Amino acid sequence: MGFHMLDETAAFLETLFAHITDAILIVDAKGDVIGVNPAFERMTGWSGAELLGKKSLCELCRGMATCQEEASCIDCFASRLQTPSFQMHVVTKRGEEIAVAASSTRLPLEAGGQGALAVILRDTSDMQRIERERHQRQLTNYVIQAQEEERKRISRDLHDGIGQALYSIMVGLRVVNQLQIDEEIKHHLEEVQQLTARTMEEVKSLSVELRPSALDDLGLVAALRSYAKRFEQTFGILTHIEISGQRRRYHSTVETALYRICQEAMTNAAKYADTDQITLRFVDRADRVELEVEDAGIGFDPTQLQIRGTGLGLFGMRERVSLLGGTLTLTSAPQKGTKIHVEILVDEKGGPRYVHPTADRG
Amino acid sequence: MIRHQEQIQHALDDLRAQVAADFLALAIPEPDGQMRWQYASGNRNDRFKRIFLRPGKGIAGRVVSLGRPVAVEGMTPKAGDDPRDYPILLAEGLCCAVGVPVLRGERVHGVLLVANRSERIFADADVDALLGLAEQLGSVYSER
Repeated sequence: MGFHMLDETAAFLETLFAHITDAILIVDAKGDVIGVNPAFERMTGWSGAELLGKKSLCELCRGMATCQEEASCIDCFASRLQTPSFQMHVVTKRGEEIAVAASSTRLPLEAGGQGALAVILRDTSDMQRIERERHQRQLTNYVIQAQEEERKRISRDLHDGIGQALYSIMVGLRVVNQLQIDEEIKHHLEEVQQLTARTMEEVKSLSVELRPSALDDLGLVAALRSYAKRFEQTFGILTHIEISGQRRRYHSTVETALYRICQEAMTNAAKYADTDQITLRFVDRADRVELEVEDAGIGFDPTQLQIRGTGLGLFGMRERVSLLGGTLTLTSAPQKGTKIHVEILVDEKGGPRYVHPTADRG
Repeated sequence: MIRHQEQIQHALDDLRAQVAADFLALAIPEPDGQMRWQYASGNRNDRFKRIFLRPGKGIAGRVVSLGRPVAVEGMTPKAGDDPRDYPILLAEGLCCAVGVPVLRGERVHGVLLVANRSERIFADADVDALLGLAEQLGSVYSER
């Protein structure tokens, strides 16, 4: 389309000004407001009548965001001919401050521009929230990965380093104790042997508790079985295991996540459920794996999570699941026990079907 | 003289009545060396029997490695703490406990535990009574 007549152009520009989604604010050379469009009124809550000739730019603007500051007046955009992109803090009628994306242009003095400053604003808070969430998740993922790596390293060091050394000490003591020596010394040696054996056991269980090597060497199901057995012996809670579906290995991110979730859920049950029975179910349904931890304990009202602890454990479980695109459902009611159900979609190779873009595939 | 299992059980029941405590238990090693709570008085279920005591872990673990009485008061599960440090308290819903060593010669052979389900600070007299029984039990095990 073309504009043959001047007033047609003016009408078009008028419509554009009135309908465009971006908020437009125009101030004259002195800084007084001489024009706002409906989008600006919607964004700030001010009406044109309250602003035109009554307010100045500095009454509406709290400053622009720089690397150093949230809002600053140093190097103000109004002092420049053009500022293509910056973040500005606008004061709304209700006195709130909102951060918006902005660009500003100083119009020329000639051709009717009068040296006015046109500021175009766009509310990007949704985008920023999404960005923040993504960043947060990336960080969580990074923390989880780093923690797991660190645990694996310390667990290996304990097992292969200190564990092996203690074993050698024990063998050495046994050899010495077979020599012809005083009964009294023999007796002392036996004590030391027993102490060494106990320390060795302690180191071994410390290593397994940090991260069982079975999880890497034998896979999730084997690791769950030995965890359940250890759990039963630690707390005296009878633990039933039901495993169904094909047996296979899964991607290490899936195996680690499910193992940690199971550990957290069972630890919570031991701490809060006051139960003597737990059932652990693991099902491989080809396109998905499901893990369920159910206790017959005292239960609780899931809407009142903060009563017991901080709910941080549950938050961690949810975070691990969501990084793998899975779902976690918690079912509980007072005197009705508690059930945690986790489902993760997997491909034929046992990898997560959906991976959060920031999740490391390991 | 305490010799048979029933006598040990009676001794535990008597002491529990004497100090008016909710729970009393004795952990000693099984023939394979694994420490278990083998006797209890005032228990509400049999969970305690299934617990394997880990060296260095929990009240009993600390009594064994320190070789002296250990007390806990006002224990409730909290976010961030490790329940492996107090499995017997969880199993029996206890909050306050005192554990003392049962000595066999100079070595710690077992652990005698007195505990309550409600707030209580065990008095010196209670702990002395507990130590008295621990000594008797110690001499029994030393004879074997």
